[in-house]
Amino acid sequence: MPAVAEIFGEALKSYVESLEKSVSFTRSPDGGESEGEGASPKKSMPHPPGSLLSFQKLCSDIANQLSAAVPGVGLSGLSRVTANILIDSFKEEYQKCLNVPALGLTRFYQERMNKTLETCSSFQSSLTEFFQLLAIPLERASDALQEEMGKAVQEVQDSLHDHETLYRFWIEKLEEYYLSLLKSQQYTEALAKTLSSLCEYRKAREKFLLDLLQDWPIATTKEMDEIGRDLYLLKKRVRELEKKVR
Amino acid sequence: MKKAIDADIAAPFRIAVSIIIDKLTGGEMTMPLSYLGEARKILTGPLHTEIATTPYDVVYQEDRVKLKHYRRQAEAALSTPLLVIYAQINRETMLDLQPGRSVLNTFLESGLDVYMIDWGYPTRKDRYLTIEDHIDGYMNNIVDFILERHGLAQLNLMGICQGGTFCVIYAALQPEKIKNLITTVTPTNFDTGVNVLNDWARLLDQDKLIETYGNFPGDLMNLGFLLLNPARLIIDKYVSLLGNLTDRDFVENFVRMERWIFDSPDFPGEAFKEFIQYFYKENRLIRNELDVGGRRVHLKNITMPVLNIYAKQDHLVPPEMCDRYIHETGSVDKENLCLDTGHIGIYVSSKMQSEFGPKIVRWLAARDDVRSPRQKNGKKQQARRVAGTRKGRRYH
Repeated sequence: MPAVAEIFGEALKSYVESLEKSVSFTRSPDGGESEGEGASPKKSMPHPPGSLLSFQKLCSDIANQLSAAVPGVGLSGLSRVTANILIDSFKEEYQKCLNVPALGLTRFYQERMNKTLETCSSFQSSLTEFFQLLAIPLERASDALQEEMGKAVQEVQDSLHDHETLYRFWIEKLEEYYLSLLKSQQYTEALAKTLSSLCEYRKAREKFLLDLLQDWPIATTKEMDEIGRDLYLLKKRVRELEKKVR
Repeated sequence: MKKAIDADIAAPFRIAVSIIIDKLTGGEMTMPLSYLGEARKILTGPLHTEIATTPYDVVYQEDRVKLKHYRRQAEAALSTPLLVIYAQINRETMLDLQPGRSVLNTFLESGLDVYMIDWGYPTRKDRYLTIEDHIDGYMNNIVDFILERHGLAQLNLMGICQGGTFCVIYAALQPEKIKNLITTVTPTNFDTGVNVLNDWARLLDQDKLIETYGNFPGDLMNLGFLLLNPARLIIDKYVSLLGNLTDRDFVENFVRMERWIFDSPDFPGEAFKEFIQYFYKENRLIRNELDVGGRRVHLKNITMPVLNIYAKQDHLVPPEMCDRYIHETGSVDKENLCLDTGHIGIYVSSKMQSEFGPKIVRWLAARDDVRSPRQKNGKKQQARRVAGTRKGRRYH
């Protein structure tokens, strides 16, 4: 998504420039704090450069430009665009750092810690994508509701102004959109991916915790599983022998 | 919420909250103090939300699995006891939610001798138990115990949901021990193309899940069920509660149902893996390709009378998953019955109390002709063929 990155780049660049201007506004040419007449240009500006208002305006500008730049994505789709940028940047940059080979005596411990961080981030990414999908029916139902309200206003239909009717309309639309989402291949795949990444994260976290636990006199899950398996096999054998004896 | 809300990222969520608040307050943005006061009284006062209050005795126990024997409330009407096998998803307490909405009470008041398996709460050590361990092990031992206790060769077997699938397998493997088979909302055909749950199960990496969790967590399963209809199960249901906080009966019934729904034991790991692979992914049972304990499960071996009840509006186990197996059995006295209700409603709705339980009692009574005692030499009597001996049998 180069257009999005460019927009971010341009916007940030202009913000940094505005910060630099702000510094020059608030300082007198000899380096001292501006007072009296020196401060007048700042007061006359609606959003003084570098201020919180200026930053908010910048965010709003980015949002508007992104909304215009990405086809088919309105303001309500921006959270998805932002999330996708974060997920992509994680995969491209951050994840690679965690794969740098670990060295020395503690290399296996480092690897397990890195794996935990990596799988945790990976799980968060999958979960974000999954939640994005879950939010789609909410968006569509509210759009449908607003459209229906618009029609009702035009046709002077008072029935839709009843709160109970509005709620029923909205919940039925929501149910309809959810049912169609749940049947989609995209949703099923996202669900499978989220569960898979959750498993990988939990497994990595368990291995990391086992490293921490080995200094404590506590039986680990792995050890308990081994005992559980032995017990299971022994019980099975005893039952078979009992049957033979009878 | 009469004015349009400007579109922004959080708008759908704000609209959702506005609609719900408007519905609950009639657009006043606040609930009347009298309503809140009454609701407070009910929520902080004594609420009768106990479930499963019908008295029983635990007459057999093996590991975590218990056999409950319910105390009959009327003269014995049938000579053959009924063993009920519940699913390993949620708990058998659903059959006894409250007096007046209890399938168990209907059975007991009609003079049935009822036993029910309580699968308990599997722990980490139970992760290695397979389907074979449950059917050839726990179930078979319990059937033998009851037969021994009553001096009979056969008993009536009733299965619920996935417990019904186990019953079908058991009846095919041990037909001589089963006098009549009843299956309710029982999945036996997993390749229907109409169920979202089937699509999800097919993409599931069950080996990875069980390697991670040991057993399949009940909470995760419940989350999956909630996601089958988030609009109704996560939003509408609770909005409905908020609008009825001054109705004590409503609140009590709601809490009872919540107590049951979220009482979800974990599913033993190996059995879960097998269930997903052999049933959801390979659909082995209906194809007569399933092996349990080294023996092939042939549905044709089911020769006893069969009553198969399922629900028209069931989204978890739709009719297409239930209605086919009966045609594959070797029984000639068989009936498919589709009731106009849902997966849970079939047991707990007010309307079904006069249809579901009484139908089973009538059906069993019509087939409870002659006792089938053990022979003197200890060998069990072979199953009598009832094929073609009954009037009014139905084929669907």
